[in-house]
Amino acid sequence: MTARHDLPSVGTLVHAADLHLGAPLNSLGTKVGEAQAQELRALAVQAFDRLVDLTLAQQADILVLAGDLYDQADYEVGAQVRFVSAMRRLVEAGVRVFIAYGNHDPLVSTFRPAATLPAEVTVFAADRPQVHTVALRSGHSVDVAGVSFGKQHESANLARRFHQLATNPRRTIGVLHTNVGSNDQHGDYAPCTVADLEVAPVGYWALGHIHDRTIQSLGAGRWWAYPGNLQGRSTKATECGPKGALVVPILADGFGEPRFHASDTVRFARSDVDASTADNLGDTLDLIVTQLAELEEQADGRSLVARLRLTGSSAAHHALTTQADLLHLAREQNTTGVLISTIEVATRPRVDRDQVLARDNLQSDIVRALDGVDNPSDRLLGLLDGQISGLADARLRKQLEADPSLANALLTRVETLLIDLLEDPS
Amino acid sequence: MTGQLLIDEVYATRFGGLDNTALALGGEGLVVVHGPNESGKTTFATLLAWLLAGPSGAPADSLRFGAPHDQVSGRLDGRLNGQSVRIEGVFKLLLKRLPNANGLTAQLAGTKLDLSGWRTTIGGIDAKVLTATYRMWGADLHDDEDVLAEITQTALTGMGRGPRLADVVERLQNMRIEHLTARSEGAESFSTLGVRRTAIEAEIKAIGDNATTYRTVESDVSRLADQLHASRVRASQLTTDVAAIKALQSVTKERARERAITDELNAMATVPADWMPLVEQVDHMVATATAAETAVGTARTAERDLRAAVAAVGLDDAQADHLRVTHATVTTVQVALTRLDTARTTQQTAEANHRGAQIAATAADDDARRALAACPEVSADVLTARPLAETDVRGLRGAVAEWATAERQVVAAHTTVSAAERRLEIAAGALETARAQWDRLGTGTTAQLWRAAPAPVPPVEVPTSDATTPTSRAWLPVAVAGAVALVAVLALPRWAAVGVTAAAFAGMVLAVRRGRTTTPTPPVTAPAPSPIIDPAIDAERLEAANAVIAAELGVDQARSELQRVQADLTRLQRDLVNPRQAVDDECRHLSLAMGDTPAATSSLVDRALSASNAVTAQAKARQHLGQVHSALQQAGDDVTRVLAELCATLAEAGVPADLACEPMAGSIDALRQVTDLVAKHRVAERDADEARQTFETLIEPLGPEAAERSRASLVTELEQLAALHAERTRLSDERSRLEHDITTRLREHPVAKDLAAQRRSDAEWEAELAQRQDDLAQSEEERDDLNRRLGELRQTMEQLLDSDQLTQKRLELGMISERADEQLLAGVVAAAARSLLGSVAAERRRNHQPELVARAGSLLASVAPDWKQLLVDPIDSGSAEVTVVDAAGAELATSRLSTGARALTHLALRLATAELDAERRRLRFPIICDDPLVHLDDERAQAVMSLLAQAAEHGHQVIVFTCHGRTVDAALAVGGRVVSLG
Repeated sequence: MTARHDLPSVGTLVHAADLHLGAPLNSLGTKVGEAQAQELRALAVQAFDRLVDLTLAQQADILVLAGDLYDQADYEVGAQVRFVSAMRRLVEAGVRVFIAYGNHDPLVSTFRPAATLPAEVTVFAADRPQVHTVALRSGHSVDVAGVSFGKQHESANLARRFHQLATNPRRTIGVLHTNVGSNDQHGDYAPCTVADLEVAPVGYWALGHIHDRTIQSLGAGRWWAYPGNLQGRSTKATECGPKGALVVPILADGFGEPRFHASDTVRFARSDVDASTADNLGDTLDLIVTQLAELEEQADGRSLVARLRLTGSSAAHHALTTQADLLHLAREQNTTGVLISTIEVATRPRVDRDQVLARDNLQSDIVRALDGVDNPSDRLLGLLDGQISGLADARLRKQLEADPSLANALLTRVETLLIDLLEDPS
Repeated sequence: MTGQLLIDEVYATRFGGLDNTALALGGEGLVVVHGPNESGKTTFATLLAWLLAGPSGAPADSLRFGAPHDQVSGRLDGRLNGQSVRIEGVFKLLLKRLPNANGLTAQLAGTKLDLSGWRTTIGGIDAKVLTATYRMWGADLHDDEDVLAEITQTALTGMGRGPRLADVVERLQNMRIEHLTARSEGAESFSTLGVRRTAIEAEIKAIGDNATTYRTVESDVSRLADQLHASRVRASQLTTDVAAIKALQSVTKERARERAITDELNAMATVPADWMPLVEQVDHMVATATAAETAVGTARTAERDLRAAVAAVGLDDAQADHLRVTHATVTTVQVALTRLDTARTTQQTAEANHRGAQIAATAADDDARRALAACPEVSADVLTARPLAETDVRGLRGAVAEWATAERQVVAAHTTVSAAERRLEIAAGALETARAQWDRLGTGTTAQLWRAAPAPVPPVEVPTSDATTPTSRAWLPVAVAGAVALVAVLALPRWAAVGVTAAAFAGMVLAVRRGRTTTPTPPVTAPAPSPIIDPAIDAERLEAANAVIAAELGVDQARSELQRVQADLTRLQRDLVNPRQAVDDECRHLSLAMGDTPAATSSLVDRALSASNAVTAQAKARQHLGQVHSALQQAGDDVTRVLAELCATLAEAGVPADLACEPMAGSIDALRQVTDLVAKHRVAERDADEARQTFETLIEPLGPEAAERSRASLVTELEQLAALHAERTRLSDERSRLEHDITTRLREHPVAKDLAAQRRSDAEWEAELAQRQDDLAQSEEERDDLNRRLGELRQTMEQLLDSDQLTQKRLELGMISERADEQLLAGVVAAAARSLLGSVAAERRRNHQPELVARAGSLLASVAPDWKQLLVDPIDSGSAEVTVVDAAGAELATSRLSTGARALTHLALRLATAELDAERRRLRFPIICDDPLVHLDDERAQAVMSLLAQAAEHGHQVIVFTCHGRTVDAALAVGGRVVSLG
């Protein structure tokens, strides 16, 4: 798609979503000290301050916040007060702010605000999209349309409700909290399709809900985008990498390509560490530290929390799987400033699977038993029959539903575990 | 194709109790060798085994077949793969080892084989293999340890090694528990984390109303702030009212006071106008009057002091006026007096020194005169011109000492020469005596010649006796020796004297001995005129000769000695010249005369030195006298000069000339004081005049009457008027101040003006004031309480704002959830692994038993239909557990079977082992059984026999040794043959 950077800009839009104020972090990993957690919490809160600074620095005309501003209905008072204070600051600087609430912060009657937003901040009501015309500093104008969630589990396709608007798509910004394409990594709230977005008379879809940053073109000067959340919250895949907001040039006839600006103060990363060259635990720890150093370099000076997965067919596999305090050891050896949240041992013994299959023993029987399973989930659940509690079973099923690849991964772990345990130590 | 070894006959040549005994077995198939106890069954079985594969078993067991070192032997005949074979064995029994198997030889189809060759032929079967595989003792068939050790080794080979399955299962079970359900303290299982998650969610819920609390608190703060404001306003009003009332009360009092002052002023007298200027400067007037009085008093005092001082120094007024004695004058006079004292002291000292110098000079003159008289050899002029010092005569003294030494040496040499001459004389005398003695002996030769060759001596008849006979001349050799010794000591040097004395006494001893005879000698009658040898005479001659020789030696030595000392004397005398010359030279150098002797010369030197010292001392004393005299004259001149300076200074200071100069030490300061007092008096008179004049000028406005009055009275009246004026002024000022205060109060408290219009009494106003003050205090308490409550609320608001409890709890919740999921998956993996392992292991166990076990199971199943399968499970790397599976699938470990069942099972395993071994070696070896059916019931016994028959059918020759008829019957039942023993 042709970038319209060369066309003159008549205004600037800053698009952010999924602030999750009050709970900027979800998880830091295992056995993280309270002091360190507090330090990272304090840092994470500053991501919102960076958004405000960015908006002012860009001399934005409009700031749209597409849902999940807060994490829960039980809002942290301090977070509310800080948010309202920041809104006042933006309003005083002449920025028009538009808010569409999402599944984490739906517009419900039980919402108990601790502070009152300035009148100049527009909160979209639920049910039907509302349109507001905004006069830009350049003298041009744009329309901003949006709608909030009226309930947490909003299942209606709210995008389609924009189809009835009588707006000029090249001059209209749509603000919506939605799941485009029913992304299974996130709750399927207000689901819609790309086609729904394309049909609506909206030139720039400022969306929220999906934490992965996505920028897609709908044609010349038309876009739909998820800025991703403002600050990563855990080492879950969707939370890793740079997080921030999008700055969108408002053109005379359409919208320019959104540009990403990082605002996160604590960054999360996931990384595989190939332990196939390691002969022992010490070698593995060295590889871990090397990998952490590389990750730290890429974090641009931010605090970094990393989840590591040890992979490969390694001579250190047995040592790694039997080392009870591997995470503690790795943290002790860690000479970087990166916080290791978790270490997943996904190595395999340095035994060729085909060689195992070629043997005629228990290990080969196990490998054969797990080879070519049609339905890994059923196979796994079958093996577990009666061995886990109802609560654990329910949780497991939920995770299997959410991640179909999980069953296969677990069966692989079963195979690796048994091969390792049955390996003749002599 | 598998071969076969069949035994036809075993022949015991000499083996145990068997001598030349044969056992025919008849070849293939099942054969039972039946015989009673002690018939040789075991012996034959053992011999058979030894012949097939060599001795085996325990060394002690082998001694059952003979005594140690016995040779046992036997042979067997058979067929190996159809070829005849004879094996012969000769074995020597040993006490602690098995017999060597090398005594075994085989002959196979004409080919002779040694042990190694035979073993190779039979596929490597040795005694160990035979025992483990092909020899079965009935007594041990049920014994686990011995049997299973071999079997499981074979079985486990196929099953591999590894961790015990049960351990792995247990480990997985523990992992499952640890990850999913562990509830011990500190456990982080899915279960415990779930509990914690629930608890945190509850905490979050409890915290969640922060927003409402915040709004409520915010509202309360606002309300209380309003209340506080209202309270402040009221307090301000009350404060104003209180101040106004107080102001009104103050104004009332001040106005009353003002009126009182006015009345007082009206009643008071006033200051006369002409006195006013003076009253206004009363202090100045008083000071002026006081100064005048003081000045007059000072002038009078100065005059009095002056008169006293003048009288004290004895001057009149005119003289006193002329005095100009200043401090500098005093100092100068004092210095001059001090110098005068010093000069006079110096003069006295100089006089004393002069007297002392005179006495010393006189004494030095006397000493010099005496010293010169004692040394006429030297003149005073010479000594004056050139004084002598000890250092000067040191060289002379040394030369004199050397001279004296040389002289003494010469004298000593003379003495030595004299002594040598005397010794020579003595020696000569001794020689002369010795020679005379020799001559008397009439030898007609010299002593030396005689000594060299003594001539025979005419014999002399002498009486013989046994006793020693001293000769009448025994005293002679002693005397001679003594004389010689004496001469030697006196005349010879010691070294020579010792030698001569020794020789002399040696000769003495010899002579004495010769003079004494001990052996009888027969009388010899010498023929006349033939010489007769007389030992006594010969000895005498010897002595005499020796004496002559010694004396001559002494004389020679004395002469030599004399010559030597004379030479020394000559040398010393020659050497004496130099020291004398040296002394002479020194004396000339010092202009002294030399003495005849060193002592004389030394004396002269001493005297000359003394004289020189005395002359020198004299000169010094005279010089000193001259110096002292000059100093004395100088001191006298100084005294005169200082005195003249003192008198001049006094004259200059105006001191009358009739006052002596020297007594000024005490009076000069008094004169200075007079000078000062004169000046002081003049100044005081002048000041008094000025003060009087000033005062009179000041009182001039009072008129001439005032001039008539005394200053004191004028001052007194003035002070009184001044006091009056001051009091009036004070009252006026106070009245003015009150007016000002009233005006100011009314301006500051306009309310007071309004209150004044109410015309209340003082008591009423007092009550009103008290009320207002109470209200004010109450208002203050109220505000304190409001402030306190506001502070608490604001603190709460801040806490709520600063609190990140929810954030913290949510993060904690997230971390616990993540950890719980990790534990869930880990537990799921462990559980699934355990389940999978169980099923796979069970399947493998049933379907993948080693060939050995499968064969044994088949054999067993063929004879025991209730039993379906045999299983072997490795317990560890060296042992296993055998389990029997019945038709229903139930498993029973052999360790829990009956003895018979266990024996059957083990036999099946042994037979299966034999079958597999035969297939491997491609040779069916004979199976030797010794009472295999012991411990078995009939059913089991038949089953065992059936198994043995099967083995026979498969090509093994099965030889069963037994004493039991039941075994025979069982064998016959399965088609076996019986051979009887005994």
